[in-house]
Amino acid sequence: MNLTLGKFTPFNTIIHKLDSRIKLIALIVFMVSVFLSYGTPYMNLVIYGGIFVILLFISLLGRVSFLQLFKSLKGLWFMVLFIIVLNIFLPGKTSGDVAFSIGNVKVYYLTIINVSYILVRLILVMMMTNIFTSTTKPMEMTSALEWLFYPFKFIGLPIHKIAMAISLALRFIPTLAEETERIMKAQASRGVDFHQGKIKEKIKAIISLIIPLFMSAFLTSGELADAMEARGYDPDSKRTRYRAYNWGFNDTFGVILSAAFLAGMIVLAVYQYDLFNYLGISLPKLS
Amino acid sequence: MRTKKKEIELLKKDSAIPSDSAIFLKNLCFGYERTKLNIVNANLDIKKGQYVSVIGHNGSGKSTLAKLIDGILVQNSGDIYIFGVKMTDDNALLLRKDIGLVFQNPDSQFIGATVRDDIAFGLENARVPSYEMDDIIHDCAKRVGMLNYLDTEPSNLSGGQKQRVALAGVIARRPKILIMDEAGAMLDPKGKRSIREFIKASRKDNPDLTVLNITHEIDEAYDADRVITLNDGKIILDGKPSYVFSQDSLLKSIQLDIPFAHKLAKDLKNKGYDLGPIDSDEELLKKLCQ
Amino acid sequence: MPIELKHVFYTYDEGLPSSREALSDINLLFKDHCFTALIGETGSGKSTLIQHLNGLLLPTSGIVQVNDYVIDMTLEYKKKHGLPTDVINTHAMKKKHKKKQKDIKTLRKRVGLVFQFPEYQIFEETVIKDVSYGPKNFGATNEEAIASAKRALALVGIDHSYYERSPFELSGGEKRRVAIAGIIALNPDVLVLDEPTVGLDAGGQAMLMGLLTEISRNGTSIILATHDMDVVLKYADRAIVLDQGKVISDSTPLDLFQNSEFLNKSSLEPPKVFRFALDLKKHGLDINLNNIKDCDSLADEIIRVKSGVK
Repeated sequence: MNLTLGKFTPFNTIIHKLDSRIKLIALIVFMVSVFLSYGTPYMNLVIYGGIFVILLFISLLGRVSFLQLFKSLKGLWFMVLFIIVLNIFLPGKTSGDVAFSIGNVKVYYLTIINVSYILVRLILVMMMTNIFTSTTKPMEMTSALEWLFYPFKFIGLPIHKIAMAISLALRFIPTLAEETERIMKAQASRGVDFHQGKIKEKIKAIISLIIPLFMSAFLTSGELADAMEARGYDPDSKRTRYRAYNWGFNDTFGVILSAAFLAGMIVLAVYQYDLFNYLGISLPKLS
Repeated sequence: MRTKKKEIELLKKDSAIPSDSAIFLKNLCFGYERTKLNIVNANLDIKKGQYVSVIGHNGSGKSTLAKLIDGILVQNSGDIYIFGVKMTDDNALLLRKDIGLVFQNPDSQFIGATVRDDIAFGLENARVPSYEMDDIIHDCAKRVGMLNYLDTEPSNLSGGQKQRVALAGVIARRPKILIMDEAGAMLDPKGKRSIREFIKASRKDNPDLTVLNITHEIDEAYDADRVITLNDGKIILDGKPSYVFSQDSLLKSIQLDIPFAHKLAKDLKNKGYDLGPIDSDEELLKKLCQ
Repeated sequence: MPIELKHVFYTYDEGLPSSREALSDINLLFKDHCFTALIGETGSGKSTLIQHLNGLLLPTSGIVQVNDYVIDMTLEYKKKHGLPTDVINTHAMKKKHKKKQKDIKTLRKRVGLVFQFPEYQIFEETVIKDVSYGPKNFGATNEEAIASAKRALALVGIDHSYYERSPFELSGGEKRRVAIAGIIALNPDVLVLDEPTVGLDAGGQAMLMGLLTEISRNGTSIILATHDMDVVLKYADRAIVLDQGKVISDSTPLDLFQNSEFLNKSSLEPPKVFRFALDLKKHGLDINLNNIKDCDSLADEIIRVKSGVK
């Protein structure tokens, strides 16, 4: 039984081969830039549009599946609807012109813009996370997070122990999945029906699955702890690392690009630089 | 950060312990709970290079003993000496470097995400520099026949294969003492044979290797120089295989099997055909075919 | 209650790149009141085969018939009922078919299946509750279920002092017996066990095999997947060997262990008792191999021969 965790797609693209730390940093940089505000709504449109194009380009480089993305977005339709409805009926600060009315509820242009921002940001954030999870193995993600959170060690957070716990959890997910299947089959052999039956029976059926699974998990973790100790593991002492990072030219290039990008975005946001004004194009005022 | 000097102090040998002793247990007592002792007054002197089998019914304390010797469990009272050095809270980790312990469940002792990572785990703990690791991993995987599976995940390996990876992990640490806690119990006959072969090969590679093999397979127990029998936490027999397995009524009373030749000889004797003391299949065959 | 497999094939992950054929053209008939041993290494298809016997798995193609209950996955049937005849995605169709397949659950009552390390399926608060869970799932009233449970527990040697105890405080061997009782309580006509002695010590193994012998004597057919050749020789009247999804040998244990040509090719080793008996025969003793079941019977045979010679 082959279980691919998350959405990792095992290709060998230039993006896959990048150091996971740079990918994590790039992810953070993109997220920050997406949540900054760039002056006018039109500038925001331009910037977000630009980011979208960049992400599209990276997705193509990394052979990232858009199907996955659509599936996840589809799953969020309820939340999207909720946001739209909420903003229409409880718009907060309202100013400017009214776009249209639904009965006696006024929908302002400002509201439309704000809701659009939320949706666009959502799509962009999902795109970038999709890229990250498609091109980075779970173990690599853990390593990158472990590296990123290193400074927190000095305020008492046991970073290395947490990272070890996460890696172990990842390692055991397929094993637990197999165990679940085994238990389900054993209980089915005792007449348990996981699909049909009254609520009470179904609950009992689930209990007959969960309790053995938990017992098994506890037993396994005890044995695992013994095995780790027997192999010389000491959570408090320093360990070397087999999977050393492979820093290449692409990674340095990536850092420089990300830094430049972030700097650029911050400048734009701070100085509220208006491209359209500069070009002398005049656009209708929206707020 | 421990200094070299402190380390030397922690590993000071006790002169009262014989110099050829690998594992020395003195009046060792241990209980998981307050109300019952699982190891009762164990006294043992296992010499360097000895191959010792440990047999006993389920629950007799075999695994508990293994974990105590490896310092994973802390005894209630009594002392453990590894190569003459008394085990304490401070030096248990240091002493453990010389001890390799393989458990019986192939899954719950497979730590890494892949075969490679699992063998590396022990090396990381031992602070082996990362640039040296690939060669060691390659070598150990080759010796257990898992070289083609270095990047395979455990969910795609059989029990026997996972156990071989556990053996590779143990080889990588180059222990002076090897403890096998029923390492073949959950494997098919082929897997059990490979465990038996592994012990033989390891002893050949390193004649000074001290081996403690906990097993239910009586024929395997017979391979050893010495057999220790545990019952309800006590060591009730300790000696050469030929001696221990001649105590057939005692062994039967504690639910243990005896080797085939001994069993057949005893059955024949009970039915009126006494061949005298028999020590091996060959001896029995000869006597019957005269 | 006979079980028959006709041209049974099973493929895991059909249609996917990871697909692999676990059973290939299996044709077997398990008669009533038999004690059959199923031998095979990991990967031989043993577990897959076992799961076909109580309907946990439906064959990719072929027929499984338990008494009068038929699971028909042959091409003609598929065509008749509008099921897709191509290979891809029959799994989804099988699920629909399973629902159409009336009362596959009743199959599980008649063919009791005990998995490896069955103690891991225990979950109830007391021993008696856990053992009576099975019968209740098949429609027994509380009283009936408890009565069946008590009968089953007596059979596995667990007395009434254990009834109200938590199964989790029991020893490994006791837990296993409770788990097996949970299946015996269903009163199956056929009992299928997947390596029930693994992890038990000599005493535990002897007790379990004694239990199975008694159940077999009461009329229940036993199908036992095992690696232990001593068990095969002593208890089974038929030995089926699987390798890579195919049946490569199907005979009495005696015939299997005497087939040196076959044994040389496979990695199977006859039990020590048998090998020794063969050695004795080679050295001139007129041992009748039919009388050899275990050490004790070998001793009897040796004495018979020796006293005859006298």
